[in-house]
Amino acid sequence: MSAHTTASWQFDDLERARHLAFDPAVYEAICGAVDSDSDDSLRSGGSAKPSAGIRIFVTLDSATEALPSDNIKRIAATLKQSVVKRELRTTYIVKSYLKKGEEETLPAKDPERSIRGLIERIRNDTKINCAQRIAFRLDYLLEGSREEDPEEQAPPSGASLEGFAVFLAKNPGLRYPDIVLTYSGNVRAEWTRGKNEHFAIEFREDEDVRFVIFARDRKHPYKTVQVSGTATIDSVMEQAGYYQVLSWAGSEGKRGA
Amino acid sequence: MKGERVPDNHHIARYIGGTKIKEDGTVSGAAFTLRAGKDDYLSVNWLEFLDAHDRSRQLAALRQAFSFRGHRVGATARFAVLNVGKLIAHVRERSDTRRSLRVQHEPLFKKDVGYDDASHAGVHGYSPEEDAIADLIAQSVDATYPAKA
Repeated sequence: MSAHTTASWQFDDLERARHLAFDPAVYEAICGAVDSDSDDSLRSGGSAKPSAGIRIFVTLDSATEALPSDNIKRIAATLKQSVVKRELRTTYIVKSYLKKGEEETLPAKDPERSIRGLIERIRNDTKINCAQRIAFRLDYLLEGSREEDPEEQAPPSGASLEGFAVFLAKNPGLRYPDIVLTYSGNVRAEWTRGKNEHFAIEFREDEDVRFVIFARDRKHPYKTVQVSGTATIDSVMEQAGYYQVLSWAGSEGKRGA
Repeated sequence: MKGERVPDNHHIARYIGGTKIKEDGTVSGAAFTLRAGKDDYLSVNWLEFLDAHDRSRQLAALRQAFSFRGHRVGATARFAVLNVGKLIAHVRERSDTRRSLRVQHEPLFKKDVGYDDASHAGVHGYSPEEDAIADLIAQSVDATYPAKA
């Protein structure tokens, strides 16, 4: 590798961005940056300082967001996020998309293969509680989505599945959830113990989540609190924590009717 | 008649794809969410419109109505049956906004949608963002039956 490798994502140059994203040398450079640099080295719209002989420039200009390459945008956004926050997403997205010079295999060309790959990674992820059982259920849902009328049921969304995997790896204290698909193919995980204790998270393609919490009021346990809204994969458990969801959705909590 | 309220002691059924049925056989709230830009209300069928009392006849007529639609029916799909009065009361009692849902007759005609579905009805009174209402509707399901005979 040269002393200074510059990888540049320019959304107004889609073909070049695609080429760079799947170039093995760039993959190594990215991994080097992620592994060795904990600084804010990938800044939206800014250049990074040299680190381990690597200089990466990521453009995330709001004026270019209307361009059609969702994959490239997601990779760039993930790089930014992963280096700044050292998130597990790096493992799930960057490595999966760029691994060992899969230069010609853009996931968009074969979405089902990509989904199966994601399920396999969940199955083998030692950080995920009940990984094999979850993967088995996801396989079932993938098959089930094919049974349905395509106008009514979209196949599982890769981005949603990735978000779900990240969430599971970060929250090993949760017990095995009920897992279903929304009409748009997003993964929805639910933990329920009776009508008054219910926690559901829908993992959306934009890395946000929609959640619903029914929980007993902390001061008046005979009343039920209802909270719903959007949050991020990172923050949703903070919401849930306030309502002590882990006391019944955690690994120690018993499953109810 | 379009717009007629479905009586509280009557029942409605909704087609539930297998991907929205949980492993314990209960139905997820995901099956009752509205799709933004696509659904103005939740599509259901009015069972007593199909047959006054007999559940098996109601279901047979419902399966036939679905076959006329030309939609693919999954092998693991179910029809979820809800009592109208119980549904409305449950959501009103449990939702933080004391929401009043309305269930009304919404017959579909071939000239409009390409098939006739005289028992078609709708649950009105919530929006696509209101997942909590959808989850409360799921709690109101009385029973489920295979969508395929």
